[in-house]
Amino acid sequence: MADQFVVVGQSERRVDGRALVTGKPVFTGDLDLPGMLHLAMLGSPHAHARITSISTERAEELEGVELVLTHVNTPTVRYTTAGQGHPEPSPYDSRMFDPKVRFVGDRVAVVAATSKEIAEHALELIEVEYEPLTPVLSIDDALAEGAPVIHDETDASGIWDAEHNIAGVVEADVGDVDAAIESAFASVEFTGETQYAQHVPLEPHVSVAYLDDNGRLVLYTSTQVPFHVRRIIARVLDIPAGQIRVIKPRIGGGFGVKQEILIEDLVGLVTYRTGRPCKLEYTRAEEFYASRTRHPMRVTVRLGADEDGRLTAVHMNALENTGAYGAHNLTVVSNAGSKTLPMYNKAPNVRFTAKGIYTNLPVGGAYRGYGATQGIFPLEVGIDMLAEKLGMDPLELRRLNHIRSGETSPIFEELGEGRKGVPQTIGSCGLERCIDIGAERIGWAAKRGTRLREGPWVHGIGMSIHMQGSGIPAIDMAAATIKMNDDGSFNLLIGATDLGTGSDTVLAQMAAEVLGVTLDDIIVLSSDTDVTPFDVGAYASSTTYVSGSAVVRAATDVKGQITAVAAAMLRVDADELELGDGRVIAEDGRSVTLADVALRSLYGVDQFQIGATASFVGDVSPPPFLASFAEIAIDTETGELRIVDYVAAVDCGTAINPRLAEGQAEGALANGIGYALMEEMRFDTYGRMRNPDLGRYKIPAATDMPPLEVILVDTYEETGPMGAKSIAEIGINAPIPTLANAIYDAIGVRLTHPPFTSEKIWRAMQG
Amino acid sequence: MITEYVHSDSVEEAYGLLTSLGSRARLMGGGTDLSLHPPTEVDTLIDLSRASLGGISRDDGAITIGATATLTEMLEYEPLGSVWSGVVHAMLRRVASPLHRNAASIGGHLARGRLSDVVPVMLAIDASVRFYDGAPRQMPLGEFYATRRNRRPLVVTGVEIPVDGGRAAFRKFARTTYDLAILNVACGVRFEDAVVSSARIVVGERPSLAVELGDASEVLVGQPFDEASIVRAARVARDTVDVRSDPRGSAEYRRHLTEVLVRRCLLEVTP
Amino acid sequence: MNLTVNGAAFDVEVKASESLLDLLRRLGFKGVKNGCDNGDCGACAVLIDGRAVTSCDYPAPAAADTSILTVEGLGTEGELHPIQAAFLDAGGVQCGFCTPGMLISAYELLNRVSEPSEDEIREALRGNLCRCTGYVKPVEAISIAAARMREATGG
Repeated sequence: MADQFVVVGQSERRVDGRALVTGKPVFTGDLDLPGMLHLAMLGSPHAHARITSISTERAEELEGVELVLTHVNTPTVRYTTAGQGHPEPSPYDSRMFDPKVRFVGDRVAVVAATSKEIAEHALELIEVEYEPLTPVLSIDDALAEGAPVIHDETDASGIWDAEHNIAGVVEADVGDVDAAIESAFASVEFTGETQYAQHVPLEPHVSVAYLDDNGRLVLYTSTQVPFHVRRIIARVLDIPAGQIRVIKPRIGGGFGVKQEILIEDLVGLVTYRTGRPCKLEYTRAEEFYASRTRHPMRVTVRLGADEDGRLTAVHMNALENTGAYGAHNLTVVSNAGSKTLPMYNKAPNVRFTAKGIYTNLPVGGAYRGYGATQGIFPLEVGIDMLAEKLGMDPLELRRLNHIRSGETSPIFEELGEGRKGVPQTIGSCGLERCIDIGAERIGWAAKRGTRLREGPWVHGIGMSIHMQGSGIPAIDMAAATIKMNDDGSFNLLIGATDLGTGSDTVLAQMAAEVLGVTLDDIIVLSSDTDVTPFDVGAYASSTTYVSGSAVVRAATDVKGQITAVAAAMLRVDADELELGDGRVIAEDGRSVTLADVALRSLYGVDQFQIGATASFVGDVSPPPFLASFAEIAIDTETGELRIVDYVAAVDCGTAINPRLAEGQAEGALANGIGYALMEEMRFDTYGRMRNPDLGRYKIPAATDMPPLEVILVDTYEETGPMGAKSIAEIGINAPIPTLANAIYDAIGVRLTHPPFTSEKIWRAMQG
Repeated sequence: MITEYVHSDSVEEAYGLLTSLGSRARLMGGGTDLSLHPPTEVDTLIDLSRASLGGISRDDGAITIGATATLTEMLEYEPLGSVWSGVVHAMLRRVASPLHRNAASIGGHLARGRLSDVVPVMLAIDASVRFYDGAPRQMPLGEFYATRRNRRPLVVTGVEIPVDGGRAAFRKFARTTYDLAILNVACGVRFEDAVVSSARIVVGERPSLAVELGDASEVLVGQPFDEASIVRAARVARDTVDVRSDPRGSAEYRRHLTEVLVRRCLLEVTP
Repeated sequence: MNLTVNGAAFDVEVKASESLLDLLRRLGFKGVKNGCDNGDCGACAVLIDGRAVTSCDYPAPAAADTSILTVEGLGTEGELHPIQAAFLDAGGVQCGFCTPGMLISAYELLNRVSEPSEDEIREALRGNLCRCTGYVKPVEAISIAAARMREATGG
C-alpha cells in the first residue's frame, strides 16, 4: 500500500534529531533566565491528615526566599489536573493547596528562592502541625463499612459517591450475562490484579514560567497538553486564557504522565506574583510519588462459550485504585472495557461494571494503554483457560471469536470516555494476518505444550491479541496551519505534541506527500498556543490519525491554491495539474517550480498568502491490532524467567514512517515487559513509597531485553490519513497476558499478580 | 553537608586526616554513594586517587591490586582473567555497569564490604587486604571482617590474591541484569591430586555482609570432589547460612537459593 | 580549580559539595542531563580522561586537572560524529533525553573495541536507562557506527 506514496512510508530521519544528538539545550530544564527563581516543594509526611496550622515566617525570612505558597495564600478553586477536553470527565476534587492532605507527598507548601539549595533549606523552616487521620491504603479498606472519607470537602464536584470513597462508576449491559454463563457449555473465571507502576520518563516533570515584555504569562513546560494547560491554568489562577501562552519545547518522555496540569499552576502563580521567571524541576523521588502513576486494578473476567467454542457471554468487572485524587479515574477504568471487549464482538451477552475508588496513595493518571493494559490481562488469560476447558488450541479459539473487518460490537456505542461511546464498524483489520505471521515466526504449533527441558530450564510459549483506538471519536479535535514561503518551502504549524514520538516528523511527511516536496521543505513548529492552532494534545493514540487528518486537509487546501495560481501561469485548467518534486506539472510536461508560484502569489499578480488552516474530528476511532507471542524458559530450581524470543505483529494501517512506528512498538513492549516482570511501587504501612529511585524501582536495562521483533503488517484504513491508524500505546498491553499464558504453558501455574518475579514463580511451583 | 574536599597525596596524610577529623571525614576512592548521600556528620571527603595507590601487578605467588584501581582496570588486567578459573573477570562483568566500574575502586568495595559482588569472590579466593592504620598491615580478608577491623579508622591500600592453581566460581542471582543480588555465592577450591586441600564457600547479599560458611566448606576438605560431597556441602550451606528478608527477597527464598547456587558453583569448579 | 572540557580550558570556583553534573551544566553544557539524582540512569554520563562515568555522583573537585568530553564535544558544528549520525539513521533517538549519555558510553566502547558483538554493545549500554526505545535501535545504531568507523580507517 505504501508504494503508492513518495515520502509517506519512508523511514526518514526525524526532523528534530540533530539537536538531540548534539546535546543542544532544547529541553525545559535547559532554559535559564536572568533573575530566575527556583521552586522546592514540601510534601505531606502523612497519608491522610488535616493541616491544623502552618507557619511560613521563618522560611520567608531566609535570605534569598522570595515567596512561600500554602493553602492560606493561594486560590481555592476546585479543578481536575487531568489534561482532558472541556468539560473534563474527571471530578473537580483538587485544589492548588488543600488544608487536607491525602497521600504521602501531597502538597503542603512551595518555596520560591534564588537557588534550589536555598529553597530546599527553607522547606525545613516551615512549621506545620497535622492532625493525622486513619489512612486508607487499599481499595478493600476504602470500600469497607465505616471507612474514613477521603474527600469530605463540600466544594468538590463530579465525585460519584464521596462518602463511600467512590470517585466514578461505569456500567454497560447487553443481553443477560448471568443466564448465558449459567447455561454455557463451558465457563471460566479469572481475576488479575495489576500493580502500582510509574511511567519513569527519563526527564521528570519540569516547568518554567516568565512574563513576556507585555506582561503576559508564558509557561514553558514539559507537557503533552499545552492547550488544556492554558485553559485550566486560566481558570485556576483567574487569568484570562488570552493572557497566557503555553510553549512545549522538547520533552524527555511522557507516556501519559505529562497529560496532566501538574505543576504549571505553581510556576505560573509564583511568576505572576513576583514578576520574576521561575522554574520547578521535580526530583526523581517526587516524580515517583507526587506526579501520576498507573492505576492499579483488580479485574475479574467471566467467559461463557458453546461447545463449538463460540463465546456466548463476556463479563468484566474492574475495581480501580485511583489514589488520592480522581483525575482520569472514570476514563481509564472505562477503557479497561472499551478497548478490550469489542475484540470479542460476537458474544451476544456482555456486561461491564467498573468503579474508581479513592485511597490515600499516589494518584493514578494517564499511562500508555490507559486501562486497556489492566483489562486485557484477565481477558486474555480467561480465553486461554476457556481454550483449555474446551480442548482447543488457544490460537484457534481466538481465530474463531475475534472481530473482523466490516463487523461491529455493541460495546463501541455503550462505552466511551466515561460516557456513551460512538458506534463504529471496523474498517481495516489485519489481526488475522498478525496472528498467522506471529505464530509462524515464534514456532507456535511445534512448541506449544511441549515443555521442552534444557537442564533445569523448562520452556513455554504464550500469546495474546490486542486492540486499542486512534483518538477519541467525536471529541478529540486537531487543527493544522500551512503557509507557503517564497522559496517553495512551507511552514507547518501544528498544535500536536511531539513527546519524542516523532509526530513532528510524521506529520511533516504527510504534508510533504500532498505538496509534492521533500521533508526538508516542510518547516515544523509545534505546540505553541500563540502560534499553532488547537490540538487536544498527545494522548489516546490520536496524533497520526486526528492531527494527521487535519494536516492532510490543510495541505490539500494549499495544494488547491497552488494549482490555481499555477493554472494561470501555465494557462491550463487547475485540475489537470499534479504536484511533485517541488514543481507543478501539466499533462503536456510543462511545469513551474513551487518557488515560481510563491513569488507570483506573494509579489506578482493577484497577491495573497497561499495558506490554509484545517481541522479534523474523527467520527470513528479505528483500532490498531496486535498479536503478541513469547517463548520463555523457567529455571525450575529458582523460578528465574528468561524470555527466549518475543514477536509482535502489528497492524497500524499505513506506517507513515516505518522506523518510527517500529520504535514506538519496541519501546511500548519494553515498558510492558518491565511491567510484567520487574516493576512495582512498594509502600509501607504508613502509605510511604519505599523505593522511589531507579536503583530500587527497576525498569528494563539494555541487557534485560530479550530478542524482540516487531513486524508491521500492512493494511489501509480508509478513514485514516493516507490509510494510517495509530501505534503509540498498543504494545504496552501485550507482555503481561502473553507472559502469564507462557508461564502456564511452561509450569502449569496461573499467576494473578504481576510483576512475575522469580520468587513468585518459585513459590507458585511449590504449590 | 560537604564543605571540604581534600586531594591527599599520601596514605600517611590521609590517615592523619581521618584520625584527626574522626567521623566528620570519609575516604573517597571513586566511591559514588558518599557524594550523593553523605551522612549528616560528614563534612570532609578525602580523595585518594592521587595518592599512588593504583596499579595492578603480578609476581610469582600473587597478584596485587592497589586500592584505588578501578573495577574496569581490574577487568582490563589480563592475568585476572585466568587465575582462579577467571572468576574475577566473570564476576566483574556482572557488577553494575561500565559507568560504575569506571569509577568504583576495589578499595571502596573492600572497605564497605556490603552491597558487593566483589567481596564474596575475594573471600573465596583467599585474598588478603592491605591497609594502613599508623603502620602498614596485611590480614586475610575474612579476618578483616570477622574482627570488624574494617569499621576502625584505616586506609585500605590494596588487596593481594594468591596465585597457586586454585579453582573458583561465582554465581549472582538478581531480579534484573542491572541490580544488586538477591544472593551471590562464590566458591574457591584447591586440589591436591583428586582430593580437596582447601575450600571456601562464601555467600553474600544475605542481605548482610558476605560470610564464609565454614561448616559447608569443611564437608569438602580432605575428600574427593564428587557429586555426593557437592550435594552434601550445598545442603549444609543451606542449613547453616544466616539469611533475612528484605525487599529483594524473603529469607526462605534466600535459603533455598543458597543450596542451588552453592551446588551450581561447586559443580562448575569441578576439574 | 582547572579542568578542560571539550578541549577548552576552564578555571572555576567550585563548592566541595557540588557535583560534576551541576558544574558542567552551569558552565553551559546543557547536553549533560539529570535523570535520577542517584547515579542509576546514566543520562549524566561524560568522559573523564577517556573513561565514561556518571557525573551526578562525581564530585566536581575530583575533576580537577582532568580532561572531560561531553556530548557537545562529539563531532564538530559542521559534521556529526559517526555515532551521532548512526543514531539518527537507525532511529535510535526518540525523546533524546538519554541520548547524550548513550553516545558517551558508545564512544568509549568504540574507542576500545572496533567490532563489538551485540552482547558487548548491550553491556556497554547497561548503565544508560531508556524508556522510549526498548534499546533495539540504539544497539543497531552502535553496530552501524562501528562498521562505518572501521570502514573509514580501512579495516
